[in-house]
Amino acid sequence: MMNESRPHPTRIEELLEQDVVVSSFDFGEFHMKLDESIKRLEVRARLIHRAALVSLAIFIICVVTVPLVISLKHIWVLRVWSGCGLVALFTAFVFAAIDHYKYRPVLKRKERDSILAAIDQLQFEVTELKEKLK
Amino acid sequence: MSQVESDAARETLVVLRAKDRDEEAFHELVRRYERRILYYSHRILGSDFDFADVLQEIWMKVFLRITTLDAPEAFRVWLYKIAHDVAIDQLRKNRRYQVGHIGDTPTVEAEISGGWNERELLENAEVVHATLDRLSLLHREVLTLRFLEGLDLSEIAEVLSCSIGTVKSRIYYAKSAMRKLLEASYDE
Repeated sequence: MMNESRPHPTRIEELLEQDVVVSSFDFGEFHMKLDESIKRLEVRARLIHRAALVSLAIFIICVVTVPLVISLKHIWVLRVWSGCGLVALFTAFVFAAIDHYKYRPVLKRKERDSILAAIDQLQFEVTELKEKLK
Repeated sequence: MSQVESDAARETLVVLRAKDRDEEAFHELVRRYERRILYYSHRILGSDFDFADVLQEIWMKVFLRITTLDAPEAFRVWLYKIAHDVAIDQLRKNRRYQVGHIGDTPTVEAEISGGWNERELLENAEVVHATLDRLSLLHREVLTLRFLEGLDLSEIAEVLSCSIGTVKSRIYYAKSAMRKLLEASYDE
């Protein structure tokens, strides 16, 4: 029967090397495209995040300014205002849901990167201060 | 700790870092598995596909979903499952997805008692590739996962979303089909 132990990694590597598609594939270009796609995804994630915040801000503005709109005593203005507020609330929910379920993990990297950058900056400043104190 | 265990522990750490959105760790995983995943996709899809797009889709899914991976030590199986799903989706889009009828060749059973050394077989890569391409999708996929990617039965069952018994049966018939093809090619 066939030997079912795991094949030797070197032998497998040779086998992969001899595969037409694997040997002719441009991995450098693939890495570049993958990086670009990830960056595009991050840009989209930030846009969705901002859109959720802007929608929420519009809703809050609509609610806060209701007394002012009532004082105008034009029923159609109040209706339009209420419509704007409801649409803003709805879009805020939609964008927040997309942001939470799809894009939040993507933005996590940016948060992590900015924390690391801040730590680096702090370390640099501490080193500079130490040198000045000397 | 053996070499295999230390490699596995190292990989788990890399996966944990990638889960925490460490860019370098993610790229390390890409570099580590890209050739194998490409080979696996090629075995499933055949040659008429843009593998750059297929690979891109697989790794973008990995990037998006890795934060939800609960067991970092199961990364390899999880990755192959994503690759499997993407490849099958591609086949469906191209309307070329045909599931072979496994187990409908009872006469094969009596024919596979002869010896077949996988290590010897791997020495002749051209024959392996040519023969695999002539097998049905399910046969070549299960053989690729078992003997070229080194997954065990339970891992293959998880990748293919089926039972271990089904995997055993598929491997059995895939081996017999491959053996028949190999014998035919040697006779020629």
